[in-house]
Amino acid sequence: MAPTSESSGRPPANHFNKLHEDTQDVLRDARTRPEFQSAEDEAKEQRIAQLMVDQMSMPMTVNEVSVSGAKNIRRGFLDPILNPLLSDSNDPPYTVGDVMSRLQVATGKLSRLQILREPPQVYLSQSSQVDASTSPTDVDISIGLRELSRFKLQTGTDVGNGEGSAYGSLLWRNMFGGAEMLTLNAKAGTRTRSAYSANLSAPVLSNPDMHISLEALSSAVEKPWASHEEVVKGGTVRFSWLNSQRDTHSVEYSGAWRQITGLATDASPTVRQDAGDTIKSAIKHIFYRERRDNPQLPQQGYMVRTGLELAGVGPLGGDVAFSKSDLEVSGAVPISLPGVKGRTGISLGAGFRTGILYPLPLGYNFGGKALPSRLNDRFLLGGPTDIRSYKLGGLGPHDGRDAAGGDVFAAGSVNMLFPLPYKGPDSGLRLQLFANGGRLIALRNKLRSRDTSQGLDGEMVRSGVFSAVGDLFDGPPSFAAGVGLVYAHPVARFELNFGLPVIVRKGELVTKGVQLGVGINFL
Amino acid sequence: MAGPPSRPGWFAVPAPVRELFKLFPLTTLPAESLPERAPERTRPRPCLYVFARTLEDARSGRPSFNPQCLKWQTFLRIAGVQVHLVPSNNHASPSGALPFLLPPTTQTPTSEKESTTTPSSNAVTKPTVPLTGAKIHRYAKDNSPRETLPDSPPSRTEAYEALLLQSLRPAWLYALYLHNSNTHLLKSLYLPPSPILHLPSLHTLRNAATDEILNTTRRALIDPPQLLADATDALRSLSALLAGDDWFFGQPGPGLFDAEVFAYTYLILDEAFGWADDYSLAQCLAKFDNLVEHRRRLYERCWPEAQGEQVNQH
Repeated sequence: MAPTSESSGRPPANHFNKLHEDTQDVLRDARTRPEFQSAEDEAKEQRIAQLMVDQMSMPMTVNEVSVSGAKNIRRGFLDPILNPLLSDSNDPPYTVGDVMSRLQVATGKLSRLQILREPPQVYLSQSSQVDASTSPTDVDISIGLRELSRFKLQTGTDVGNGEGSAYGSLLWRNMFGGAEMLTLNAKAGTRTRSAYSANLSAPVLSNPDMHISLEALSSAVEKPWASHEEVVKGGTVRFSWLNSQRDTHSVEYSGAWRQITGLATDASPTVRQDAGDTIKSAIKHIFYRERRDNPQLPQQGYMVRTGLELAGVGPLGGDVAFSKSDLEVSGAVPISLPGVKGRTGISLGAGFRTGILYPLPLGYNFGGKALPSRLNDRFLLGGPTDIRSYKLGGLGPHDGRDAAGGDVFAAGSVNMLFPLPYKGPDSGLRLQLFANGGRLIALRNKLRSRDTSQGLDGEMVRSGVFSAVGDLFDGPPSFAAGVGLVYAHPVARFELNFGLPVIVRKGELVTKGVQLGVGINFL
Repeated sequence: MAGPPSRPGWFAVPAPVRELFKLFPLTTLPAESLPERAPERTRPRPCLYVFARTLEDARSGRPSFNPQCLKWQTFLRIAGVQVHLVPSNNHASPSGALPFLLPPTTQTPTSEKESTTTPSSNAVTKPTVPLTGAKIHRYAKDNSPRETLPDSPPSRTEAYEALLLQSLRPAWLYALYLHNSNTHLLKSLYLPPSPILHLPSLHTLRNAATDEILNTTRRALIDPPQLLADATDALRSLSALLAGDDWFFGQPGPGLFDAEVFAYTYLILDEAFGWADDYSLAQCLAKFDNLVEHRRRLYERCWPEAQGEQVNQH
């Protein structure tokens, strides 16, 4: 390695010169060597750690916890959060370490409730020794909270995704002093005729990682990719929680009255066939694991999301019955370049989605005939946020210009992100090269004995699903490739791509050239 | 290599880019097949979307339970145009009401309008605009294998059509939509199968019917006996118009007006319809023998396959 003496400007070292040097100089030289530096740093860290450990095992108990600034929070709601700190709780803390870690848990919970303006401020003080009930190890904890305002009214206009709209929303935080949150939304736009929703959510047992929420929705949305308007009125009850690995689980029941109406004059017979009312009553489980460093612009890590929905079976009722499951996996690895230290900002990402809709018999008629899927239950594929260079719903079966949707799909994408020159890896801007493709296939009864409007029997469904899944990988997928510019904003990701479809199936709708995508979840 | 664009302009695509775009997609594979519920891409026959009790009824071409649907169904049968009936609901219709007709995908040479589209041109993306009302009339006349369909004198037809609309239809609407004893019948005919939707849909239907009755009768209140009396008067006029003829207006064969009258008379006297007894349009109609006879005559002519079945009479 290069001797440090060189950098100090002395003539090239003659090793014998060292013998004539001052011992102090030799020592200094040795000290400036990196090995020595790192060894010294390590020792220092160890000393501090030891000191901490020693400190942490010092006895400490909590005499009193006082909370200030919690004007709207119920006492009964705070108790389960702060109780573990107190010396008269079930399993009281006895050491500084215990107290500190529990304090961290408690303040973490408080800040995750989304009712505070900033993380709570904590002060420790020696308990007053005048009080006879205190012991010498007692401390008083005072927690200062600053609540967010209870009401938030927001109005605005949105332009994006080929839609312009105006919205108004009212947020009522901490309704009953238990971090309950009520959100009322109203929206009207060019494509969303009207949408009203009310959502009431509350943490369960004062735990911000466990939520129960009730949602009511009424909307009328235009769906130009299938020439109709869908009017939905429904409600959802959802219970969601974070497990110990910080993965999100949620279980929900939803019931909705859906109406396909307002058909365009040139709507296809496929859409006309499914016009009218249906009732969906379904339970759904969602699992979501997020391990990406930045979901909008992942450079490292992975994400897994699975969904399983069961509609219309047994006691659920309604008039559509199916099981619908989907899986999404995506990940990214950073790419380092030889000669460049630290983050290069170059990464290789990939995503894969698949899903299957399996028709089931309605209600308790288990051995009976299954109803073929309807337009509003089937999967759609294509669009700037999943398979780029295709129109929204542009892949899969089409009747005329209408996306008929499919029962089985698989889609994948590979993209490579490069930082922009002069911008560097820390900006949210990237250049991307992408290739994405997939297939969306509708379940067909191979026998075509046309009497399927009464339903499909179990055997037909099974053979139909098997052959549809087989078809997924039989033959190349519809696929497109291109280059683009990505901007990751904390709220959403924007993409401006130039792409060209390479393999297309007849009837599929593509966008050659430039396409703009705005979204949260990109493939 | 890159020649200058022939027409320079801000939005003109440069020639090399155009050439590049033309190259892609490199491969076009056959279309994915449509889902199970979707109708076939090709329609050899025109499809008439109607209200039908069951799929079986529609398939065997039995008379629809809705007077408007039955009118056009009958007229198409009179014209000899073979149609495929599709059970449907108002949401599917471009006009908001059934029936409507989708012409077949392969056009018969008699129609000059659609003959311009060659079948080889991309059949997948060609939209079909459905036909309603007068357009069904036009279509039936253009595609009828029969030489001439009798055209009734327009001025007199209009007067009697108005009579049907203003005197018979309100009684029909009252009997089916508002009369309490027929609620069950109404539910089985027009309401979606899910019981949760019954109440709101029933409410909407009844409001619409009330509005229509009040608008056509121009009265402030609905007076059921009066509606029945008006209907009887209308039937009496029709009976007088028909007199001893086989078809209305003394035509040699049935026409659109015959189909229109038949749509009501058939359903009113249909014993399988499920009418309640206490508000009986059937009793009013049964008095006019020539109308009953007209109904039987047209039914036998248009539904010869039902010859074995007994034409129920009151």
